[in-house]
Amino acid sequence: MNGLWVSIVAMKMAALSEPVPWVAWFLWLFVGFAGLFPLLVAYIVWGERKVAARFQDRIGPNRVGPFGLLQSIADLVKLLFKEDFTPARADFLIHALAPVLMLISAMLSLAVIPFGFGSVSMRNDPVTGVLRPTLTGFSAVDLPSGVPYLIAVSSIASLGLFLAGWSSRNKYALLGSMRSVAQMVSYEIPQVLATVPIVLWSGTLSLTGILDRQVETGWYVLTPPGFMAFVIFMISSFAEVNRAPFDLPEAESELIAGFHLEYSSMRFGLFFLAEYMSMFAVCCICTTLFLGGGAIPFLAFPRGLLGGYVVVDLFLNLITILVFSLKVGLLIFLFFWVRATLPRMRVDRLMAFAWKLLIPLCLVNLLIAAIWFEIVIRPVAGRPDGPGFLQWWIGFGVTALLEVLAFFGAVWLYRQDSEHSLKTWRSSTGSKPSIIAWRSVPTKV
Amino acid sequence: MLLLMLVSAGMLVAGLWEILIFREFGPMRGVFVQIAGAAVLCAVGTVLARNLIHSALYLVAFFFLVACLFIMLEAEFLAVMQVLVFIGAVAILLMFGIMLTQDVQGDQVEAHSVLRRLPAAIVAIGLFVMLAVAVQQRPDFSKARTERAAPSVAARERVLNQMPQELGLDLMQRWCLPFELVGLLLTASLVGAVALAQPVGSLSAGSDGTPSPGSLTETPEHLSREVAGGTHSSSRPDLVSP
Repeated sequence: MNGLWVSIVAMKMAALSEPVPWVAWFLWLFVGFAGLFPLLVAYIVWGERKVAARFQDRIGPNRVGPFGLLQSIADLVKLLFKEDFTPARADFLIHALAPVLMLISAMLSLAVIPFGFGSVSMRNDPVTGVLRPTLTGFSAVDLPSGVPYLIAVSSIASLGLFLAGWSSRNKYALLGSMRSVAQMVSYEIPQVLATVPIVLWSGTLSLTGILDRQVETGWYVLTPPGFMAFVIFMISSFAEVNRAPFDLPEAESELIAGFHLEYSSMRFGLFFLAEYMSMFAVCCICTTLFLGGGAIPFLAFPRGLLGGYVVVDLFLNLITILVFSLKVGLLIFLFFWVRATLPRMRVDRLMAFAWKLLIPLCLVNLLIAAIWFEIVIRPVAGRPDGPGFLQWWIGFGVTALLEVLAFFGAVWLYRQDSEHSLKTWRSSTGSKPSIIAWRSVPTKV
Repeated sequence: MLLLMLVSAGMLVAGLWEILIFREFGPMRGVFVQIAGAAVLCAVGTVLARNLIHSALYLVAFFFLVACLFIMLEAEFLAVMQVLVFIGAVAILLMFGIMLTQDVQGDQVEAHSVLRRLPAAIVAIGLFVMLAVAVQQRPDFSKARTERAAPSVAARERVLNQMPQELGLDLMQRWCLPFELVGLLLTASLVGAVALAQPVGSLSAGSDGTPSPGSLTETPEHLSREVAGGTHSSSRPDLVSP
């Protein structure tokens, strides 16, 4: 009996990684996207409240259920039974559409994430063209152009945010959404540029392919250019999902609640869900791109299994999904930590930070990543045992030196520039460009 | 609501059209024609909507449907790029532009007069005729579907799975000159945007004159004194200044 269950589960797991169309689609849609992910998000909210409470020397939710575990469910029920309110002059359809767009954007980006390793199949290597065993990835869809898909899908969120602010007919909501559009458009550039070294090294745009390359050559975050890209990616992701210290679109001290000011009941709940789900999605993306997905640190565990044993699929997937969620959990904790620690940034500094520091640093980092590619990755392309010890350390030394130089150079230039602009601002009788430009926007309602 | 009604009506009409005209029932073909019909309706909506934001939203829907068509034609990379560039960048900037230039609500925008629409209509029709003629003149379009040479399975698979790579090689080899020209054009527009965004007199702002005494700001001398002094760095400059 037990064996039967195991084999059924194993068949289902295999169905998820093999192209058996409707079973896989059904399971992903109704178990994953409609069931598991929202539940997970509800408990991320609970976790944030607990962690933030600890940071502020409180206890946090502890009344509903053991450790307050049912608090999220209670909040959900409360949101569902509240009055669904739409302002009288609001654009009704767009007002209803906006939160849905944001949620769709977050969910779509989860569709291509390889949560586990899937099974092993023989495929052509993207760099050398040689047939070799590769991972198929435990993901809903394995798109050959996964990275641009992620960028495209996450840019739909800013559309939803903008529409939410615009359709509410409220000047605070409008200000929030205008800030958010400027912020998301600006921070999208360093976020995208930070993923370019990864694509360069992997020779593929597919997330599964990137994961596979990392299993082969080691995590990308452990290389100097990869670490720089990881840091830049994380910073711009904070801005992309509107989390502190970049939560200007909903700055409660200035804009009350920003773009979702006129939302109530479950529509507000959808915004809430979308925010946390996009945070979860960004952590998943970051884990896949930089932290080696479900690979276990300092162990050659998955590489030993690449011989092509289909029997171990279930085992492999369970372990890798567990490791993957552990890494995602750590990243989410980083989000909580930063939110509980750092104050909110000012609008003009936010813009200057992206355009004058992050983007130049990204471009220089791309060049250094090319150097790493030439020293470490290209000479051993196609060899099964990966880069040699000596080569790896030579590459590490050279690129680490260049990275340090680039970082201090960029920061020095940024400081010089901000001092210069401060002086010109103070000495000119004219207005301060950025702040005044923001305030002079016509906001009559 | 209007949008939904329009889309569903468009799907119905397109489906009927498909059944009546083509008399060819493939499920994918039907879906293709329905999406195309919905896209045309969205394009019409873009032109006819009175509210500028609604018009922009119809445009977004149109772009999205075109991306769907690309997916049905197995050009997945192109579809992703369509969403990325046209919805993620163009539409957002369009709305941003509307908000910064017009009245913020975008409600008071009158429908333009016929005289204003006429040149646009002429250009659109001209473009349509040009594209239609160009498509008809392609040698493999006029042939029946069965006569065309089907690509080999291996080549097709390679192109589908390595679309960006193939595209990149093509852009750097066969289409190198147009590619570089487009790059030049983009650089020129970038420089132009920077030149336009530069506030008047900001280039000479650092050198001219002393600040007016009643202004919000402190003098740079005061600032430098404050920084150089360092002993009373905790005191706020606006409290110390006369």
